[in-house]
Amino acid sequence: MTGVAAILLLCAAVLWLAAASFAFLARTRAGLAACAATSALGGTAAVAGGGIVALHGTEASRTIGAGNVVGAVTLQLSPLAAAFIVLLGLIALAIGLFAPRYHRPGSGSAFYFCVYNVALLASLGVLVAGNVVVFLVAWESMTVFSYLLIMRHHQWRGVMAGGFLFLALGEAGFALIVAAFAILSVKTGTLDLAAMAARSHAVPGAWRSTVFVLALIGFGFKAGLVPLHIWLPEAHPVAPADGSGFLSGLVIKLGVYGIMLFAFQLLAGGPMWWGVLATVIGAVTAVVGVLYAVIEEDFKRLLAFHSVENIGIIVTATGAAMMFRAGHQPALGAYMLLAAIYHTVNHGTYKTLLFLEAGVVEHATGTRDLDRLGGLARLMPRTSVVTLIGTLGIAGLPPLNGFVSEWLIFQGLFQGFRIQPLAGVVLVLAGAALALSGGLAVMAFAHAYGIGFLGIPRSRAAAQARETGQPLAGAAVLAGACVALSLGAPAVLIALGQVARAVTGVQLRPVLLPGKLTIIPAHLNFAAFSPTYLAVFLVGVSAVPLLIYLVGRGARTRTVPVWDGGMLRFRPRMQYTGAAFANPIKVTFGRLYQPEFHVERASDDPAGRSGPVRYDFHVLPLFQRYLYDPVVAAVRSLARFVRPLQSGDVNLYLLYIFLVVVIAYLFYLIQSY
Amino acid sequence: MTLTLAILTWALPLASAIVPWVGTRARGTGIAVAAGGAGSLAAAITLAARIVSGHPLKLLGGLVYVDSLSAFFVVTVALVVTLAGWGSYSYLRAEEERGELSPLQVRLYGTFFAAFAALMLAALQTGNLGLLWVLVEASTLASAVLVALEARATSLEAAWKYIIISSFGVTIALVGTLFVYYSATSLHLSPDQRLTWPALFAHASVLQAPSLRLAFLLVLIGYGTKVGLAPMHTWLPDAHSEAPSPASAMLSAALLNTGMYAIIRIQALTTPELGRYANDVLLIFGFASVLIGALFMIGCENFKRLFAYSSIEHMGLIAVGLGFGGVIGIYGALLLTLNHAIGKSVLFLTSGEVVLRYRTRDASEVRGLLQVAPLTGLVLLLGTLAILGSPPFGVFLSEFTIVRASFAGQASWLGFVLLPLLVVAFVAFARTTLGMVFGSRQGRAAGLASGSPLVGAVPLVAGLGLLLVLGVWIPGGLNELILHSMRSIT
Amino acid sequence: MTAIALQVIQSLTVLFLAPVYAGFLARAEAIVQSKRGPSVLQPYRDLAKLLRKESAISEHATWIFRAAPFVAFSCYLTVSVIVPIITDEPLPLAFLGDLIGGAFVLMLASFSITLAALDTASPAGGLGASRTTWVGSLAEPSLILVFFTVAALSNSDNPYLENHAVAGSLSAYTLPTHLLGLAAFFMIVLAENGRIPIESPGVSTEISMIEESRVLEYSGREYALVKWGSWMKLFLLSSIFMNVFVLPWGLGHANSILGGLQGIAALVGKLAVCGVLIVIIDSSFAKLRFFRIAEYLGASFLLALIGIITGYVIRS
Repeated sequence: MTGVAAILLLCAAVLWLAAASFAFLARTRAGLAACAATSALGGTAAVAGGGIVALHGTEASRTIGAGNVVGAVTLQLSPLAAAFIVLLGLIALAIGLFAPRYHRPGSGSAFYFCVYNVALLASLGVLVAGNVVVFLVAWESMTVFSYLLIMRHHQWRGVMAGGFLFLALGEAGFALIVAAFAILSVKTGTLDLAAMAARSHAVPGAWRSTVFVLALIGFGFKAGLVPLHIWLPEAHPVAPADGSGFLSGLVIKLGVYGIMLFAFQLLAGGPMWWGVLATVIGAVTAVVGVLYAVIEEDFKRLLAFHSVENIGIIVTATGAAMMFRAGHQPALGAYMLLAAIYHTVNHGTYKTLLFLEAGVVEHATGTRDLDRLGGLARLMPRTSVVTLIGTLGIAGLPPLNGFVSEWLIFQGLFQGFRIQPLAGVVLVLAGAALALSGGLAVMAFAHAYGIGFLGIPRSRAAAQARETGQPLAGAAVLAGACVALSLGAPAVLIALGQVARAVTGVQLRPVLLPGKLTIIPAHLNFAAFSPTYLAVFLVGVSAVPLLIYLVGRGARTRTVPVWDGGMLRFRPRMQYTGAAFANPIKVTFGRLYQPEFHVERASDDPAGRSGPVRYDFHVLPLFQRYLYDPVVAAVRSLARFVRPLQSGDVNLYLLYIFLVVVIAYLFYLIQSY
Repeated sequence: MTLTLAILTWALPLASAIVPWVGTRARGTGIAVAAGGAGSLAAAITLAARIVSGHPLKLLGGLVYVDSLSAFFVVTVALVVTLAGWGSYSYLRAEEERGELSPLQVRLYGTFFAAFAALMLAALQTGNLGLLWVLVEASTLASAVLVALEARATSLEAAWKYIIISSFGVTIALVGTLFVYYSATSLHLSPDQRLTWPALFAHASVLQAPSLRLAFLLVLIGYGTKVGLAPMHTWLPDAHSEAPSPASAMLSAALLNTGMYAIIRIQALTTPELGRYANDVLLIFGFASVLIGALFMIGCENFKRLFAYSSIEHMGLIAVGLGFGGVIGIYGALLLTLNHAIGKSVLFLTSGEVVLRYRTRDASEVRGLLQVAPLTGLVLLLGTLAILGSPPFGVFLSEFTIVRASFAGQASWLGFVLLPLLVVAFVAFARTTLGMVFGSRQGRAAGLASGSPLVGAVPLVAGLGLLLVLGVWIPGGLNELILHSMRSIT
Repeated sequence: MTAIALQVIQSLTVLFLAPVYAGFLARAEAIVQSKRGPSVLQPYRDLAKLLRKESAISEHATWIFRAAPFVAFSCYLTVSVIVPIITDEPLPLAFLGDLIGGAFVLMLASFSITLAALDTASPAGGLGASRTTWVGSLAEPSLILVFFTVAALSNSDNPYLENHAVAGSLSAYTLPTHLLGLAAFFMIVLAENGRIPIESPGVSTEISMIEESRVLEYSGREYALVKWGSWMKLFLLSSIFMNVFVLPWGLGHANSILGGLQGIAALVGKLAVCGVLIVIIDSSFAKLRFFRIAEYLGASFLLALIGIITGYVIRS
């Protein structure tokens, strides 16, 4: 079976390589479609291959050629990576269907497709790497080609800055990842990942903890953990929509994959404080991410910040899994890992979906500003339905997939009382943080969908939106996946249970799916729910209100203008704006935002007759101001400090050499005695 | 046969020195230089294959000595000469067409380029430390002419500083060489033999420790001036940025390596007697160079100076790799030598294209290169990423190997010092060059490209392709060569 | 068979007793204010009237506006099958969800009404949507912490098991974990249903409306469904409060219809108690200023947190 999977993944790789090599064909419409189709086909192969490995639950690895001092080309199929490969393939498929209608044929698109497919290939490389060198080469290639992806429209405002921030912080994270791998490989004496995992328990505890912290921070840069996330809201919005979808849907998940790889496979369990650290960072990330998301007016930036929140949720779940393992609750540990992976896959589907739709909206209206949108539900009905599915998913509402994975995570956290009390309290607080972030996420997406799609268009640009010619297939595939991941949750859990078993050695099946398509959280008698039947019941029981509705046979329905308080004419600007919608949050959490705002009235007449009012609201860039700017300033001042050394005066230069000789000679004299 | 090959490696470039004086113009000179380089490379590769599978070549009592290490460096330098030679063709044609270079300047270029190449290649193939010194000093003088070629005030000043500082440094190296000679007095060898590396190496464990220590220090400082190790690097940014771009490539990628070759030879002599002494000294100078290189790259507006500082940083890294030692450290250092040579050549040749087009070395005046000259922009982009140690290019593999070596030794904390410096260098360098590549076109971009865009593109694409290949696969032959080289000095 | 019958009876109980509960509250409040007040059965008459009335729908509204009342109503009916209303053992469909599943389903109901409010383009709708989601998001952490107390007490997240845990032993009932969780949950019930001190029920001034504002545009049959749904929500949350936390006794068994009917009778009594409690608070306190609601919910959060910490400490 693994042979079939390997062949499928090889097909995926070849197809993506082909798509990249023939990307120059994308200068014509037909070529673009062909290129995208190849990419989509590769995605399908990846989904199949990854699915087989996940279901099969066994590892396999193979070395190509002989190694040398630098390393060897070893590839491995691991169930943990397989779950991510399925996500990668799904996203590639969706984007492949989306791209032909979204991009315009030309050399810019050709370049874009080339780097995009190489980025896909590099991502696959990260997930099948069996050797440290292969992993690192694939990882940074993925970063570099994602950077090139972001730079598609490099002439536009903010793209160069956003891309550079992505690259610079990606590099910082990469340095830490290199350190983690280098130390671990040196201490275990091998570059092969499987061998490292087998030997790592012999490494002294202090080094193991160092490696873990390095990996957490290094991969945290890529995943977008707070405070390492500042590149995310700058870089994701400026990429083309499908690129943003790829970045938010997959690339940041690879950061999560790295953390899981180290925590569960390479280091194979550690002391409780590792899990506590990860949980705390995850919880803080979730809350900070959503707090910045909910006040955003730029749709794509809102989505980007919200990705930060979801990464926080995933890392919290991962941290809880580590805590449970350290607290001698292996079943719960495996369960939380499963929940984390499930949420990863879910988030990948609906976030990519939302980014694709944001791209459609931007394409149709020319703007991403929610305060200029509105009324799209009427003008672009199919797009808005698909977006609604994504919104329900991301808000974690039944009956979609976000709800299922959040349920799983909360149930795991509720069982924190099974481990020592101090650690249990950490889980309690993490649960509270996740609850807050969940509630705010609902608010954020009521904001985004309600202001952006509902009501009436707030600007001429929005009023010009049309449905025809907009890409739909790709997003529809993802919407279908959202529904399938929810209704088919038991099947997904079987597959992920295999993955968890391969990683942790715990067989979850009996404490996960006792039957009747019901899910239980790793302990009988704790709780139960059935997403499939719940969805069926929700839909079915709507017959009751329908019946009640039909009781009033005689009542008619009349369309009337909206109540506007007696004004002469209802204008779009009278609707609630996004800024107003988020205002309660701005006030409540003002300490965090420390906003600067500016109100200018055209005249001093009372409100309503004062003429135009201008309201500017700027949030304090907290992490930039207090963390990054000082570091950059320190490095810059150090550089300025040494600059006079290169004065241009030859005599000074000769003096340096002379001094060095003198010092060296003194050094030699001291050594001789 | 091996001797013939060895002689060909430097004779072919030397022969091309005659061509400019036989009445041809830029075109002919360029072709001659390129051909000389190509021939030299072919000979070098064949020579390396023979040396690896056979014995070191030793003649005239060690005056001619070619072992695997020499062969490795010969191949590297010959590769650089080839790339730079190709680049010279488009440079000379473009400058001549514009009237920037007079026929005399073209001839001088051709001659001294060839002489420079030949002297370096010959220096790598001698076992006599005195002759090595002579050839290195001669190459300094030959390259100085190249630095001053364009006869601007700044280039003349740069050449002058180059000669003074280099000569000062090389003189110190001479004193160091004398101390090496002195440390062998207790051995019963003839005076000539006492200056010959194979003989010294054979008796390395009985050399006098005190003079050997001093010798290594002085040699490191002296040849380190040529290599560009801090704080003896001060001539490097001026010289490399003022020289014509193909010559900058030669300076950065070949001459620095030749200096490093000399240091490696002497270090090999010290290891049996002094243990890790040389390693520690190399680490100090290496880290200083990486630090200086990284710091000076911040806010550097002149992109050729930026590349020069990058060379300082990479030479520092090579020294650090040698300093950490061990199989991993030395392998990484040697691999980095090769990868850096290719990458830096590509970058300097690209910079040449940019200078030809924009007539400035100021990065802030160059924008939107991808739009104006797509191929040049793309090469600059990929070359930047390559030289900064980004996969999938070869420099990453070598840098990673060196990082591994840093954590393998006693002082693992040095690895934590090295990595932030590399990140700082990456961010500083990339900021400038990426600003040049992206964005909308601006600045006085000359409409016409350099004389022959396609020919000019060949070395760039070839170099990048080679780096890409080396980034994912180290050919068996190369692996053998490096392992053999390591064996020949341990 | 009995179980299925009880299941249906449970849902019908929620469906048909919710209006009278709302009527009882209105009547009790009037009496406390020395007025006569409307009949307890008035809500039924209101529903009957609304079902015959014409709906005036904003010209900007889409299918979301028309579908939301059905979605919300279905959600409330779904919650009615999974929480203990009349029996103390889970009924056949209880496997559909547990406490937190129920909480999420209630969130779906609220979300659909929120979207409907924004759908009409009415500024009042936007106002209500913004404020309601704000209150909801701040109430979430408290609610989850209450569930943590449940988990700590009964080793489960199942409302029935929690019921058994506190009904069975007096010591469990008097644990600070339980009592603090009880208080916190009550505060959330008030917040989620728009009672004093969060919102004045039935008042339609722009400055003070939170949940009311969302449904201003509804009329006719849709409005009937919306109102009925909100009564059901209050009924459900009050029932959970009484049956799981305060008075977990008196529920029927799952194997006898008679026990189920007895459970209904007990429920009526308990809800009377709960109603009186709500009315007392309504009449004694003033509505909080809008941004002070955050402090109120913070207090509820702290109560629950202290409850859990004591619970964890006691366990160890």
